[in-house]
Amino acid sequence: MSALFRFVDVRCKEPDRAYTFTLHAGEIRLLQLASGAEKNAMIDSAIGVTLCAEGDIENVQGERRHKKVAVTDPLGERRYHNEPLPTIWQPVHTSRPGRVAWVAADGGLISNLRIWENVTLPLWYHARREVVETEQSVTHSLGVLGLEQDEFGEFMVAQPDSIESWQRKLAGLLRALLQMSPVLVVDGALFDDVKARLASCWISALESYAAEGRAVLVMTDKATTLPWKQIE
Amino acid sequence: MRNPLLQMQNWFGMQGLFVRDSVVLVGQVLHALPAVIKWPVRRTLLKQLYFTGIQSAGPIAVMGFLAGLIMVMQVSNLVGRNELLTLQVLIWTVVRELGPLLTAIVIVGRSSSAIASELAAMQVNGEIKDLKRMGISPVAYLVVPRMLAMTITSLVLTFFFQVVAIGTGMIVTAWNIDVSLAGEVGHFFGMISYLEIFAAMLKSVCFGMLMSVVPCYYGLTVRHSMNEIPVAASRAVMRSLMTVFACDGLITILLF
Repeated sequence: MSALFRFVDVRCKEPDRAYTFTLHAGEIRLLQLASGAEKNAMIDSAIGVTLCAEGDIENVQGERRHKKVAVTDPLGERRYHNEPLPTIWQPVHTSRPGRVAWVAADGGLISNLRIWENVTLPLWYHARREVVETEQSVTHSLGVLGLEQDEFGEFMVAQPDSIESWQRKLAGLLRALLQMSPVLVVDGALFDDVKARLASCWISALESYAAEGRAVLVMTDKATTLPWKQIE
Repeated sequence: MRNPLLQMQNWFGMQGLFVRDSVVLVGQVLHALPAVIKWPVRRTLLKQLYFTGIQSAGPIAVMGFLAGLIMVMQVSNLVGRNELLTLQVLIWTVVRELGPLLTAIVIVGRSSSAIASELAAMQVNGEIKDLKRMGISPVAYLVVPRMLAMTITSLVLTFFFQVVAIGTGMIVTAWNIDVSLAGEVGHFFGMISYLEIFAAMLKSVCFGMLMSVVPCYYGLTVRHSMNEIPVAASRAVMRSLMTVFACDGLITILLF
């Protein structure tokens, strides 16, 4: 099995806890973190939005995503009204955007886009895909994720504010699955307050996703009944 | 009580930061300009062109008609039945100043506050961070299409305003002092200079960039409180108007 994602002595928020592990193709692993803050920091580091406090994170084919360097803004140390700079000026540390996909606990949808636009946003931003091909993938994935076929059309044209919480979560999961990134980082809270039938569909979908030569890392900050092997 | 000198120093410092950050943002937009070939960015650009351009065309037409009508009535009262002088005043006012300026005011009123509050709401809801988590640059996806759309719209709507205002002025003049409309059009093209056309285009392009950068700046500098959204929108409108007027003055001083 080839290594897809490697954490070496990574620390975020909790200075006493360091994580060293390797994710291989076909694996799904569960990483239990000490707090919500540590989970969010670790997700940001894994995706490449921020740098971890210490340690290295390497992704696909050994490409290094993080080094032990200080967090510096491209414009140097700048402050505005004695506050840190707005996040827009802070760099995205992804050397290859889209190589690590992410599923938020609440779906992480953009409120002024319809579900279809949300779902295709990262896919069409990072790569050129035919509309027909995307529609086929979406239709297939929606079925796998447990949505009834007669709800597809209405779901896709809905605004995020007008649908239920589990539907927003489903859209977020669908968006990440469509990207077909080699590594998928999932917030474990995605499965909170979701019906058992749906949760079962989503677990199966993630297992099928990993079985196609990809890796899935589920991060959680509390005890969970999710069926995957936990990283010690 | 705080030292007034310190307060003044703080105020100047903040203005300096605003100018510097806005210039940096423009630089980042220019750097991210190639992202416009990506479909999600193009889709946002088309939406912005519709909201800022198409939906503003009606108010611009009405304002152009009224501006042309009022201008010609006032000038006729002042200079009497002098067709050439009336045309010259129309060119001076509508082409050089009123066209770009009134168009900018309409766009600022309609779109700058909307942009600032939309981006501020996205910032407060954590959607800007979500974009970054998807590997999408907020500058490329949010600021580039808005700046492009505002610049294109400002240029096109300024031309539209000028056509409506001058057309109205010519029709009213022709009807008022009984001269041929075709003759007036001929005189108009004989009188207008390339410098005036260039100045109007330069102003509308600069205004378009300013009217988009300022609200994007204020929208994206919001932190985490809902209360900051209306403040950002109000500041964006006021600061956009001030920068537009300052830029207008600068270009006028430099060119005329």
